[in-house]
Amino acid sequence: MNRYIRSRLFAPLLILALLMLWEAVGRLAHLPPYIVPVPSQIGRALWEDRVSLWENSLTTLGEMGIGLAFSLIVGWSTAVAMVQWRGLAGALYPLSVVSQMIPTLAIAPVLVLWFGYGIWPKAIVTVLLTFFPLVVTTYDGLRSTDPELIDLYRSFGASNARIFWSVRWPYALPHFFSGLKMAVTWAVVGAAVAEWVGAQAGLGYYIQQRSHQFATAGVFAAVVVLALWGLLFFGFITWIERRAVWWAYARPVEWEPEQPQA
Amino acid sequence: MTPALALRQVSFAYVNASGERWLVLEGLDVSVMPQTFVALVGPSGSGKSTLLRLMAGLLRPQSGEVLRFGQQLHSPGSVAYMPQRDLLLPWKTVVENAAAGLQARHVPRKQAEQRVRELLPAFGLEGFGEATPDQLSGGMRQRAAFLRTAVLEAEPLLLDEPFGALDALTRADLQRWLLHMWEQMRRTVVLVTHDVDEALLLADQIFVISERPIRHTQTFSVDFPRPRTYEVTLTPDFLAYKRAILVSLQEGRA
Repeated sequence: MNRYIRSRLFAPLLILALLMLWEAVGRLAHLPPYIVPVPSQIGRALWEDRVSLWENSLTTLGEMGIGLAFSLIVGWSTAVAMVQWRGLAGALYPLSVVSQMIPTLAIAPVLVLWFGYGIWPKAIVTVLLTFFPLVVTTYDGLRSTDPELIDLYRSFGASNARIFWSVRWPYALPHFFSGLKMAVTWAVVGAAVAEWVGAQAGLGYYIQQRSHQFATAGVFAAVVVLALWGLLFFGFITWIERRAVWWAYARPVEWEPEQPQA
Repeated sequence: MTPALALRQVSFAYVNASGERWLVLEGLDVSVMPQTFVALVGPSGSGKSTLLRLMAGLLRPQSGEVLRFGQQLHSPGSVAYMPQRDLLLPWKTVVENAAAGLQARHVPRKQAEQRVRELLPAFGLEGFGEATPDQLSGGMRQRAAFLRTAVLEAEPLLLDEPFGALDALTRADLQRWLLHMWEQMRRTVVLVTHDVDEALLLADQIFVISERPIRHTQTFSVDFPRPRTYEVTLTPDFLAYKRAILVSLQEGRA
């Protein structure tokens, strides 16, 4: 077995071992399932309630999608504008930092008051959580371009737009993807948390319902679903990143000493 | 004859945020004649690169003027400039990288890449057109960067220590190669270097910079016959020139 496969197997094996430990302790200690459900009970809850978990997922993902799309479009444009006009950066950068400082849970009820129980308060919470990482990483990435490279393109007589698309943006891509990976995981959690405050559907709403019914296994089932969605999106972004910025990962061929012949 | 490039009473200074002023050039006059190979020799930090960037139009003088064939140089884009590092984009192939300058000058992509491909053999890059920079050796990367600038066919050609980052053997190889290339194309070249041997091997004229701020340069005409070979570096005349230039560099420091 080569080293690569071995290193890939380590994490799943560790998780499996922890689940088995959890199961064993729960059963031996006779913990009541409404306090600490064991993995097998959570698994059953997942399976029995799969239709409801799927439908509630769609609601949460919709809220998250709207919020994330807004953050992407507006955040990207903001970062680009800040790089092109330095004065703007002084005004907008602190503002995007402030957006991250807002205690989201505390203002979620106010958002519900303003925008009702529908999709919008959740989308706004998602925006508040994801705007900052996207703006900051994109802006820092765009600014990190080698000034000599920009001079070289200026010496070609290249326009600002060409310099942006040929040099600045490609070099900012690794930073941008770091921001996007953060944003996408925050977005899943953000939308669900916003649903606690007031919703008629969604995984956060589902968690709240199950919690009121002391159906703790159901709460955990929804948490598992949330984590899986987060992992899925994170993996998807990483997959795109590997293809878009392959050059940042390109490593020279590694040479190892040959094993002596037996 | 109109110089290919001329500085007339050029002064240039940098200032920093706390208001300190660093005067680099003061009332400098320099003329580079067409089809000559000029080397600018001076120690590190003497302002050679600043001078070259003024010639490229990347910096504007505070007073005086920079003339390209008698016309005032207002913006970059009319001369060919090659910075010290190769600055090849890692996601582009050699051909795509080398065509970038032409494309910025509004040559259509296919045409630009075609012209680059025609020049690959002369630049020792035959068969490497579709390679990415990480697959090339240091010397090849530098030749690819040189190709990107040379294919512009702009005059003059400004080279900022193009071999500075290379090991001694690769540098000697590239010097020989550049000597051969230049003797065939005969373009106006300004080469910045701190290597006196390199300057003597390649140049027709050497401008020695030894003072700060730079007020004038001391000019040496190097009249070794062309075509030159590396053998010239082993002649007594070469050593005599080298001694004179080193003395001139020392005088400025004293």
